[in-house]
Amino acid sequence: MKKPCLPERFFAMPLTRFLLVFAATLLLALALARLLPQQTDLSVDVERDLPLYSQPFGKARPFYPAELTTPDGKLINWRAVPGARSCGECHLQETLEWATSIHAISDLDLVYDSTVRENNSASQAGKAHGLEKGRWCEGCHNPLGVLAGAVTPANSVQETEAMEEGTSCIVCHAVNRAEPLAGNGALEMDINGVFRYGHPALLAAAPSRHAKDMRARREQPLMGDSALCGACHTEIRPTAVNGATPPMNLQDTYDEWRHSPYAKAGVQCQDCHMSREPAAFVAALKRGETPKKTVSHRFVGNNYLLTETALPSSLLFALRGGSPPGLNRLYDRKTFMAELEKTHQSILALLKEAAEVEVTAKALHQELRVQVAVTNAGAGHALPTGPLDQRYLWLEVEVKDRFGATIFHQGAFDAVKGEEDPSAVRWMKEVRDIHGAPERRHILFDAHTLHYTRKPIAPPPNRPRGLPRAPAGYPP
Amino acid sequence: MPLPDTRHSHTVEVRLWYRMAVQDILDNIERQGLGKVDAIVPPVLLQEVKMNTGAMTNRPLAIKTGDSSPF
Repeated sequence: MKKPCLPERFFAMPLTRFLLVFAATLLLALALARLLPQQTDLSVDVERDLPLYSQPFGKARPFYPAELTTPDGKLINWRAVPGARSCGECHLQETLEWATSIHAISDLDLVYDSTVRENNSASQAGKAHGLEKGRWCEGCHNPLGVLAGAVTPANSVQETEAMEEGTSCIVCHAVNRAEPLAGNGALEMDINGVFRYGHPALLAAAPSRHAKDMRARREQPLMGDSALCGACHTEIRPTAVNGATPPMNLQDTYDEWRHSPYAKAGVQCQDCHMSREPAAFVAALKRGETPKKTVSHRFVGNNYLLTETALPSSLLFALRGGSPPGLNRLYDRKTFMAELEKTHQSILALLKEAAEVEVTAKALHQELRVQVAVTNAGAGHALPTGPLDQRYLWLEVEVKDRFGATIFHQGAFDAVKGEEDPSAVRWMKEVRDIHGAPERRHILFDAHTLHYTRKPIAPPPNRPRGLPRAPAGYPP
Repeated sequence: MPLPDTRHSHTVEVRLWYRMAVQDILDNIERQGLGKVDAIVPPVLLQEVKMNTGAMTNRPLAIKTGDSSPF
């Protein structure tokens, strides 16, 4: 028998075989790593990269009066902002739902766009640094534009589709922390940090890592916490806008929720407003049940106007600020309109679930006395809520005789003039200018006082039956 | 409210409306030269309660959202 030569004996040794395989694997991994995108320096130095970026409130606060921030306090690189369309390549249904939402058009819709322009350029406070002061609005409506330095008089940042998408996927999915009581977009967003992990090669290699990097709810509890929403659903006009002190609270939705029984039961904004069936979820809470949590990205709220598919589509798309991202590439118009109708119907159903009306009538001598009680039966915040000069409730009361003839009518809506009977009982907040006159165009830069025709209706005082109590100390 | 005739029944109808208060903002759009948005912002009927008082008595009558039949 022939004795093996030295090299053959060497390669036959188990330890040697193991070391060889290990070395080959290591070399292969290193070679593959070379193919992956390299970490590039995405940081933006204002002096070097955006020398004309205006910072009238100091270089230490480049986004102010928005309360947005980044991990390093610097601007983000517009090249690092992925658009919703790229997310939709894999997450089509989520992207489609989001595209029908008001979040998707928060920077585009014509109502907002014309209003912020009016504040920036036609208000008294807007005469000095009006555009920069507008970062107060844009921080929540156009967070990526603010973070990238696009909201400045001499803009040298490329306007990409991603930069126009308002509250897009990346806005929530890159948040590190939130300060809901500070409001005005008090979120720390790591847009530059997530850029690398959006590369298709990494997604294919490690999808679970992608879920972690993009703050999937199971990885980042903040994604399911009201604090995330509260950072923008709290609006406080800072003194920097018009010099007025103290700062003026204009939206307190998070604070309303914080003091509500829903907060005490641990029911988060997302539980209702991101439910697949928001009205059914709330109805179940009202019945004392513990409904199953589901997730959609329609962000069902109150804005039934910009989802109104009964409007002529040309007018609807004009009001929404154009066609949705992804149209014709990810989905067709028919599919989009069907989804938009679902969102619209969800909004109407949720609104109707919030209120209850009780009527009591009593004859006394020759008079009929009618008492109407309106209660907030389902909202985990006040009713109405949000920017209360832009939405309101009112009562219409009509009494008819036995022949059906109207003998009393208060609160009728004139569909030609677009206004209701001024004697109606209304729940509305009026913004008044320095002369005490009502200002109905949302010129908050010049708002002097706030006047309530009736205060918003507080949530029901009792914790929904069937729900456990939230941990002690929650919410903060 | 005074009633012309208390011997017969009356119908009380109460409606709770919700509306986006952006009608005046649409005027901004025209003033800024972006074109006239010729639309009336419609309200949404949140709740409606109808009550038939029956023959008027001093007894208070009550009905609330979701109750199926009037008195």
